[in-house]
Amino acid sequence: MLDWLENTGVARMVQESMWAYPIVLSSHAVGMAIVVGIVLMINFRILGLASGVPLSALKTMYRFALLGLVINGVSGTMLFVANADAFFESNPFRIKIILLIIGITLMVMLSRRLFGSTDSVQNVVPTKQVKIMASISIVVWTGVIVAGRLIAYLDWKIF
Amino acid sequence: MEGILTWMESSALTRMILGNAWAFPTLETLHFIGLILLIGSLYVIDLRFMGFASRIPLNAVIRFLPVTFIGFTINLTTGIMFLFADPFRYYPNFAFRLKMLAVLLAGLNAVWFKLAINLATLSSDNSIEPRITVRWIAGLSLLLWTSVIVLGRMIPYLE
Repeated sequence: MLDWLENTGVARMVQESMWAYPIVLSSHAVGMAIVVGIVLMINFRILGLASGVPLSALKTMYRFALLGLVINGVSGTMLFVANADAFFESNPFRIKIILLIIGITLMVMLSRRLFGSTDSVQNVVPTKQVKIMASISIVVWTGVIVAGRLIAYLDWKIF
Repeated sequence: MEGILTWMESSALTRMILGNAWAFPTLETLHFIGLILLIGSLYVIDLRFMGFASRIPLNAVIRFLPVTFIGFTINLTTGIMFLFADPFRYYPNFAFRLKMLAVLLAGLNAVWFKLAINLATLSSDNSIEPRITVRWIAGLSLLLWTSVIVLGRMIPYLE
């Protein structure tokens, strides 16, 4: 399965073209700034920063965060298939994926609470539960960054 | 310049960074977290000043700026430490030079933003929409900071 992935057209392009790898890696960094940056700002707002910003009005920003997530889903898959077995064996990579699943779950749960069916124009006051979720989310997404960066160090030199 | 680079390379800071296997990965991880705080907060502010999420009052969204300054401080500090670790690698690097130029332009653009928005108007009228000039400045900010990420990621590939 992993060998098959490494021999697909996309994988070969990323491995062989001189520019494909840095371009995909740059897209992954830009997508990271969009999704993690915006998710952190939403969480900081939940915890009380910039309290004049209505929580429900952050829905547009959340949509941009989803765009960043799509960019990184695509670029991340391309990076993975180019070196599937090395990534699969990497412990920081495995931890990153687990944290990512938790982070995305929290992001979706929080978005349901903040921008859910109520379509309230009012500035909702976050409940204690929402604040706890936001705090966990900040820790988890920071963990995604740390684990992601350590993939290059703990197992093999990626660059 | 050569003299400054030689002095940097022989500094105690350089020896400390190169002498500790964990220093570089730790600094890199911090540089990524700083990037997310700096550029993530600016994405939210710039998108709002470009005209998105019009339910967010302009004078409320700028309250994310302290996050921007924290991110900038982290990245200036860690960035200087990278430069000390390997001055003869970074200084001549084309991507590094372009990145520094982009940071400089983004800084000048931020000064222009400060001059173009009237903070007094912002605080007296929440419903006011950003003028066309301000929208362009915000778009330029978004573009310049995104190019900073891309150019930074390109440093290892343009040597």
